[in-house]
Amino acid sequence: MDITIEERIQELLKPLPSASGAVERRSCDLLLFVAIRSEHEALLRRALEMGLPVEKVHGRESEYTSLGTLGRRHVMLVRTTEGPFSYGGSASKAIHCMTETQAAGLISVGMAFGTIPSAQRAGDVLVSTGILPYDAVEVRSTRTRTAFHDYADIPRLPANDALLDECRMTADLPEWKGKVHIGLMLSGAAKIFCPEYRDRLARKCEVGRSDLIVGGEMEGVGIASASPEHTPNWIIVKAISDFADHDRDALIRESRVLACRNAVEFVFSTISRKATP
Amino acid sequence: MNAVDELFGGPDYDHPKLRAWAMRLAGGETALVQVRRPWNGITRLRPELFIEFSSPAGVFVDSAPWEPSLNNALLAQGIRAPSLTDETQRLSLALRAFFEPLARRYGDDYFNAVLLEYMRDAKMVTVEIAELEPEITTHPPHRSEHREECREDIKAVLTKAAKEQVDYLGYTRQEAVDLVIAALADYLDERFSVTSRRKLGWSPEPAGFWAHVANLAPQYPDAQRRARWTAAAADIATYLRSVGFNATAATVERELLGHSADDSSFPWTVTLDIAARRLVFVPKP
Repeated sequence: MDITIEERIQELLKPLPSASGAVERRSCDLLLFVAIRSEHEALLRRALEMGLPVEKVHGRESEYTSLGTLGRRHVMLVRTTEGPFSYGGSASKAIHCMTETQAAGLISVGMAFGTIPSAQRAGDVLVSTGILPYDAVEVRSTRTRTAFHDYADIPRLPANDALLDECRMTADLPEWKGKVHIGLMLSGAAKIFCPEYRDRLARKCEVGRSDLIVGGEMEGVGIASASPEHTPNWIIVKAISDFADHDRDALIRESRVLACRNAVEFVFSTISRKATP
Repeated sequence: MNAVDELFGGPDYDHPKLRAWAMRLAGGETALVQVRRPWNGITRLRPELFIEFSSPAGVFVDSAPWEPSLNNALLAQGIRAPSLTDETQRLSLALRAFFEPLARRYGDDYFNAVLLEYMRDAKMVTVEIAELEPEITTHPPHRSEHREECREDIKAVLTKAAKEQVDYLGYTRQEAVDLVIAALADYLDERFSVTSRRKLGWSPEPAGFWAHVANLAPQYPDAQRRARWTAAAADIATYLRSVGFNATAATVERELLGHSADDSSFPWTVTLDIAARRLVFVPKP
């Protein structure tokens, strides 16, 4: 009996029964990371619409969803828990899954907050040139000021240049003109509901950097831990679901589907090309 | 250009320590360079470059974080590593720097696939690479003009690397080829997390040098009959190759020095004469 795409998505979202016996070796060229159910659903939906041979498989430390070959790469999908920390968060999954699959690259796909509400809209795609792990802030005080935050020494962790070049090529396509913002992304575990804090954070972190801060998210700081700083193998591609302000949750409810769909569409468009840049 | 500049090929590259090191060399001291890359869990720490100066007055050791340009400056001065194993590690890091722009240009996954294909086509098969192969998975590279370009770029890097070993460091052609292949194996090991996977118990330990040598049992006793055998690692590698075992000199050196003492099946005690760059084999009592 034929099942619908929606039914197949629900099947794929369920955890696999425990593996019995030895787990097969898993390998791929590229890993896609998602953190929340909406991101996961959007990615599976698009993959099934494209007729990809979507199949869920056991790994040693994680479940993977194999998406078959897109463009020139064999691609697998991994879901993490939200945020960088804890077992199953983006840091531990990135280290385990990159080591297990020997993937050459990792794209974190999903939702993020925008930092320039005057020039950005919900659903716009953010592509990271790098991330700023803002939790690495120094908190200081003086005789006249207490608990002020010094962001000057926060490292800029660069994204993979080749993946970034491929994203730039997609961003130049007519259908994406004006809908993609390429720049630095703030990354940390905080959930921000305050526009003043967002602006101050972005403004202070931007000082002395050559590229603009275009948004913020939570998993990138964990994903960056899977590769040395000078040879990164990752990039963050997320679409705007909110602006980290008082209306955050309401806007996320409205824009969640659009943001996830756009991020997934942009990533699939990028990695489906066969030619190298 | 002053004498110190000349020593390192001009003032284009400067490093705070390079001038001091150049002064020592200009004063007649000899030097050996070594790279240290300790493991930290399943990853390797940042490499550090050590340089050891020797003179009648004694030995002086200095260090600096690894930089490809710093290594190039020392290479251009003909400063070798103390052993082929150390030279392999140094060259592996140099290859990483040479390959970085290619991986960026072609994409890491595509570059991986073309590199592996190139190595197979060029029959770069040694015991290290043969043992890595089952642990490495790539998919055949997409056939396009980029594939040919990428292959040419890889070939150019490997040719340059081998040529530098001969021209600057004075290794023989065979030693240089062995060094490049052994360095490639080390590079691939790191790139595909092979040792990391083994440390996690996710991949089997390799059979190892002695398992391969054991397969040569009918031929191997010829070498064992000699009471005392002094040879360069390269000579031993040549001997092993002549009996069908594709070993590099670096492998021979590392394996003989690293394992023979504990291996009761190996009848020799081996010491390395660093100055003469030769291995001395003495039968075990």
